[in-house]
Amino acid sequence: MKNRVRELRMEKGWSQADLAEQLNVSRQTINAIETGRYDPSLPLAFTLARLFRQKIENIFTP
Amino acid sequence: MGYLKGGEKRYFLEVFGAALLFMAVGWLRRTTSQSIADPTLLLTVNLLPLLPIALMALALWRYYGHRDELQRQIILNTSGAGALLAFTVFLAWPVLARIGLPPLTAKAALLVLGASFMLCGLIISFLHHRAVSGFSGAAVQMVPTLSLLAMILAVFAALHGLLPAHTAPSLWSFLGMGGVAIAYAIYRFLKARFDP
Repeated sequence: MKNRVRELRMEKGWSQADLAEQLNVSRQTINAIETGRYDPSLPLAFTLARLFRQKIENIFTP
Repeated sequence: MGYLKGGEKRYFLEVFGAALLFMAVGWLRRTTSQSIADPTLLLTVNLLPLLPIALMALALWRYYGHRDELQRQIILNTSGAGALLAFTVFLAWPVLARIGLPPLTAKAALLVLGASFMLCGLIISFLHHRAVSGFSGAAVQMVPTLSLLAMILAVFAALHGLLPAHTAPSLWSFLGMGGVAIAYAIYRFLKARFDP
């Protein structure tokens, strides 16, 4: 699954560590999501969407 | 339970503390059990090592609970693959014993179990790092873990060679735990250097 997490994070000017802290996950997990190596669970995907004020389908595409 | 930053260090200290308590209780049991006449007290002293074992299990469970979802997935994958590998070895052992492999003892079974989890953990961890950082990046990020493993094996091999466990179990355990603590400190240093 492709995602725009890195792009949206850069727009906000956050580091991976900043985003990780807001989502209460490790920086390694953010890295794995951004590189497409790990697809987050639905609760984490919804939290990401809320944080970026986006619809989930605008962030993740199959 | 949610993700806890710095949980690895915290729970290492908890497990290490429980292991030290286990050693202390074991020493207490060995030194006092001969002189205790009261059967209830003797039973209590003999069962006392269960307390640090329970503390250790609780710390490991809380460690798992305080990981994030990807880390939990890696732990579960490692546990599943390690258990499957050990199960396969245990099933194959009696067959191989017919062609000269020594019979499976409890000590060998524990070694197989430990080695299976360790091997699967290393492979899964390497694949995870490789997917994010490429082959060379993953090789560099594996340096701290491989160093920790090598140091712990070296400590126990040296102690086994220099000081057989059956002759001085308390001293052996004490030196072993000291070696593990030093190895873990070096591991933390290397991890900060190679896997920030």
